[in-house]
Order: sequence, then structure tokens, then C-alpha cells
Amino acid sequence: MQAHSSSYKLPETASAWLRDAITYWLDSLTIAKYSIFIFSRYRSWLLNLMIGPFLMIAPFVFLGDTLVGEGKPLTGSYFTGTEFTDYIGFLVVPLIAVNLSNTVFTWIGGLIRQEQLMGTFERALVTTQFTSTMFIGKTIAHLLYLAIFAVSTVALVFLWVSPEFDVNLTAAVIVIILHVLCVYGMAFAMSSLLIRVTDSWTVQTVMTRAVLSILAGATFPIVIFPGWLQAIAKAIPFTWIFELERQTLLQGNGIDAELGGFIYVVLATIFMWIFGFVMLRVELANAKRRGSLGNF
Amino acid sequence: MIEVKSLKKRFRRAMPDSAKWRRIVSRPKYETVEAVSGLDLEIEKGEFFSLLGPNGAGKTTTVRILCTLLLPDGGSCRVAGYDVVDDQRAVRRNIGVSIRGERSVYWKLTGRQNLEYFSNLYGLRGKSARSRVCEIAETVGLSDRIDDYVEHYSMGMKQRLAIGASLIHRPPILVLDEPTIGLDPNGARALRSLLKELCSTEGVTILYTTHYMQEAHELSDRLAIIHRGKKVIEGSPAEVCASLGDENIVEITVSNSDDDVEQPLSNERVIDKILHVERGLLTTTVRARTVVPVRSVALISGLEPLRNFDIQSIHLAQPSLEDVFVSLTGSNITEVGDASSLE
Ligand SMILES: Nc1ncnc2c1ncn2[C@@H]1O[C@H](COP(=O)(O)OP(=O)(O)OP(=O)(O)O)[C@@H](O)[C@H]1O
Ligand SMILES: [Mg+2]
Repeated sequence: MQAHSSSYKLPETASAWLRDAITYWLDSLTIAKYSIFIFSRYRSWLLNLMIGPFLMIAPFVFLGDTLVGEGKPLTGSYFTGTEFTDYIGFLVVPLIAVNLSNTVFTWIGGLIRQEQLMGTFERALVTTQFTSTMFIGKTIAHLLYLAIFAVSTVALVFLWVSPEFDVNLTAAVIVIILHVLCVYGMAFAMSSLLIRVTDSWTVQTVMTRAVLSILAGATFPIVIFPGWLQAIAKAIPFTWIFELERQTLLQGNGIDAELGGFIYVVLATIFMWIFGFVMLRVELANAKRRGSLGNF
Repeated sequence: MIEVKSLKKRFRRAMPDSAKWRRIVSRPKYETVEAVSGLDLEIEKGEFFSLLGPNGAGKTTTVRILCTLLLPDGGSCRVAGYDVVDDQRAVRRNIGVSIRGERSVYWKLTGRQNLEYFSNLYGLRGKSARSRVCEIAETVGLSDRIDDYVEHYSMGMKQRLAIGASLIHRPPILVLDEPTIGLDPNGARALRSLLKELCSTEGVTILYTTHYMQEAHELSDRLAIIHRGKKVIEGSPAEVCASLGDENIVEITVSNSDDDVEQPLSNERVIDKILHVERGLLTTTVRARTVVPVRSVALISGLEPLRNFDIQSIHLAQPSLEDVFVSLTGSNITEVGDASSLE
């Protein structure tokens, strides 16, 4: 064995910055690879990813069938309120999105908490050159699972409840990519916040139950809210994301159907990512000052 | 290589409300404790330096500051020439750290995956990573279990894997917080000889904390004992032991009887301080510091309180590191000598 003679220097030249950028991505990929190894040791991932989400959607679909189906009592008012003829599609599209977002909040939002619980957080901090590679790496790993999740859920939905899709492909792809970026950005910010806020499950429950499922109007049109609540709902990017997804996947419309909402979500997403990086720096420094890295 | 100047670290601790039920709803009051208060250390390249002290003395806090896991409140620290606040990345590249031992590796991965993971993050990839991993597995004696999942390892094996993970990038500085906890005598001995070799043949600088005095004596070039966040003595093991005076320690062994031997002994004028009492099945051994050097055993055996006891042996002993420790920190090593409160 031989000890390093030269010490690490901070980058000063362009090539040093380039080397740092390469390190950043290689480290992210390494973290992604080993996250997959760890995750795959929990065999239940097959059930969780392929059948679980559909089970979450099913009760709403059954309720919808009971009340709003062909010749059912509430058909007229539901259609008037939502302006959608396909009530199953109206429910299913955002519900898939809610479930997807929920796993992101659990896995990426809870990332630091998981490392703290395992006891590996301090080693992770001293080993990684850039702390945020932990997030990027986990995100890359999680995206693979997200793909399995999405494909299997959509397949099950089609097999069982067959909504009438009318897809504007380009617009839908753009909206879905934006959705993914927004939700990971939010999870990133959430994870940094959880260095300070120790009640992580509360934050996650509020995000999923209150914000995604209710305020963003996943299963009903937000026009039923009183005015002040509608104003809050409209400030939530997911309200617009769900609306954009319904428009592009069910009505065959382009992004211009909700252009204002689209621009708002783009800005919110950029903000979330910047906020995530800044919060990570700030909260880590705070925790190192207070000695609370190990508190959870 | 490691330079610590008047280092200070304070923690705010929540004090639970004294009323049993009120503490559930009331906001806690805070108390500030000074975990490290004005510590100075200077550790040369290739030196083996041990940090000793009672529980809560501030050892781990100091170690955490040196590996950029805590920010100091005052003073400065430089590791390999880099400031631990301003140059955190550079500091991290230059040290190998093992703080929470067995918990600091991924239990859901195999030993090999763990080592490969950490070597990748340290910039070793492909073939060089693989061969380095084999080398480390060999070094820490895990070659035959390296492909098992870590969750199936024994505690000592996890501890060894953690130490292996800290060595993987050949750091010029190693910081180990109680690394021999949970190791069997063979494992501990192997680790000691590994560390000695790293130190002497490769010039690795080692900062080590332990509660095993024998270990610290054997390994250290220099050591410091800290108490309540302050350094109370520093020097080579021999120098530190000599600080008690050469001939001031006596070890008296008496047969057990109904009476207590240590209490009356401690009241004797010639006995300065009882350092250690070991009660065996048949005999009790008292280690004590005397006020003046004792040259003849008769002086001790003639002491009034020992008249009623059956004396088995009296030794004029060399002071050990443990004697110095006990005498300076005022407590037995198992007692808590907590940080000083500011309020
Ligand atoms: N994160 C923290 N928050 C609040 N107080 C802390 C924190 N970490 C340590 N302390 C306090 O600081 C003091 C020093 O603790 P430290 O862990 O450095 O002791 P130590 O010398 O490593 O002890 P041990 O031998 O038990 O490992 C103790 O009083 C402890 O209660
Ligand atoms: Mg400690």
C-alpha cells in the first residue's frame, strides 16, 4: 500500500471543472447502481410497484361506477362539473399521478431519513464529494422503478376499466416529463427540509393526502371549493399538472389548452430544484452547527 | 498533519419539563453545554496519536469536527493543511473515517458490494477497484466472508468491514473512533498491528480514540487525556505515566473479610488517593497513590487499617496509564464525567 502524496485541490481551471462534472455524474450513477441492489433485496417491490398502485385506484373507480355510470343518478351533475364525458379517465389519470408522486416522496423525500435510520448517513457525507449526488443517484434508480410502475398500472387500468383515451402525443410527453421533474424537485426540497423537521411522516402525509389528493382536485373538479380554497388550489402546481394531463391524454388537446398553467408549472419546477439545492446546503450547514445530523 | 487550535464546540440540549405530564405538551427548555472548550492538538505526519477521556469528555465531538461532520463554534482546525470549515471537500479526500463502526456500512449489501461502492465513490473504478477490494478484504481478514450479506456478519466482522471501508482510498490520515469495540482479541491484535504498520511503513497519520488503556499505551507515539472538553495532559505514554511520579503507586492485596478495606485506607495520611479497587472471589486488590514515594513495603504493611486484614501481597507498582487517567479525570473509567454546563 502507498499513501497519496498529493492532496486534493479545488478546481481552478476549465479542465478541473470538467473533471468535477464527470465525477458528479459517475458518482450519481454509482449511487444509482447500489440503490437498486439494496432496493431489490426487498422482494415485495414487485407487489408494491405492479399491483399496489392499481389497488389504490380501484375504490374510486368502483365509486364512480356506482354513481356516475350509464343511467346512474349523478351522471348529469358530474359531467357538468368536470366538463369531461369520460369519468373513469377523469379519475384514473390523476390518481396514477398521485400514486407515482407518493412513491417519489417516500423514496426521494425520505432519503436522508433512511440513511440516518440505517446509520450510514455520516459515512455517506464524508465519502461523497458532492452531497447532492445522493439525490441524483437515487432519482436515477427510482426512475427505473417508476417506469415499471407506470407501465404496469396503465396496463391494468386498460385491462379492467378501459377509459377512452384521446392522446396528443407530443403534448402529453412534454407534460409528463414536466410532471416528473416537478415531483422530483419537490421531493428533493422535502428531503433537505427533513434534516430540520424531524416529523418526516407528517410532512409526507400532508403532501400526499392533503395537497395531492384533495387540494389539487385529483378525483373531483376544484370548482366545488369555496373561492378562497380555490385560490390556494390554483397555487399548487399539481392542480395544473393534473389538468394538463387530462387535457392532453383524454381530450387530445395541446398545451395551449392550459398555457398559463403550463408556464406556471415550469417556473415552479425550476424554483423547486433551486430551492432543493439551496436548502440542502443551508440545512446541512445548520445541522452541522447544531449537532443534529443524527437526530431524527 | 492535524492542527487544532483553541477548538470550541457548544451544544444546546433540550431539558425535559420536570412535571411528568406537562413535558408532553410544553416546549422544552434549553441548556447549553460546552462539549469541547479550548482544545489544542498538534499531530505530526506519520504519528499515532490517541485521544483518551471519560464518557462525554468530547472525543467524538472533536473527531466529528475534524471530519467535517460538525462545525466548530470557535478556534480553528486544519487537516492535511486544509481548513475543516472552508475546504471541506479537500479535507474529506484526505481522511479515512470510522465513527459509528458497524452501523456505518450497508447491511443489505454484501461486504464486497460495500467496498466496491465506497471505492467507486473515491474514484477507483473497474479493475483497480476490484483488486483494491480484494486487498482490503485480505487486510481486514474478511476474504472468506466477503460475498455474504453484511446483515449476516457478526458485530466484529461489521466493524472490520467499516475499517476496511475507511482504508480503501489509501488516505494519508486515518481518524478512528473506538475502532476496537466488539473485536475479539485476535481481531483487535490484527487491527493494532495493521495500524502500526500503516503508521510506520507508510507514514499514515492516525488519530485514535479508545477506552482501552493498554491499547493506547502500546500503540501511541503520543496521547492526550481530555476531560470536560479540556486537555488535562499530553505526551508520550512513558511521559504521561511518569507524571504521577515514579514510585508513588502501591498495590495491596488482602484476603476478603467482612470489613471494607478501602474506606479506612483512604483516610490514612500517607495514601493520597485510591485509584482502583478490584474485588475478587477471595481477595481484594486496592491500587492507591501515596503522598510521598514509598521505598519499603514495611511502611505500608504497618498501616493501622491493615492490621485486621490478612495481607496477601504488597507491590510497589509502576504507574500505569489507567492510574494517570483515574487520577486526572477523578473518576473510574466507567463513570460519567460529563461536559460542563454553562447555565
Ligand atoms: N449532537 C449532540 N447534541 C447535544 N449534545 C451532544 C451531542 N453530541 C455530543 N453531545 C454532548 O457533548 C458532550 C461530549 O460528547 P462526546 O460524544 O464528544 O463524548 P465522548 O468523549 O466521545 O464520549 P464517549 O466516550 O462516551 O464516546 C457530552 O456531554 C454529550 O452529551
Ligand atoms: Mg465517543
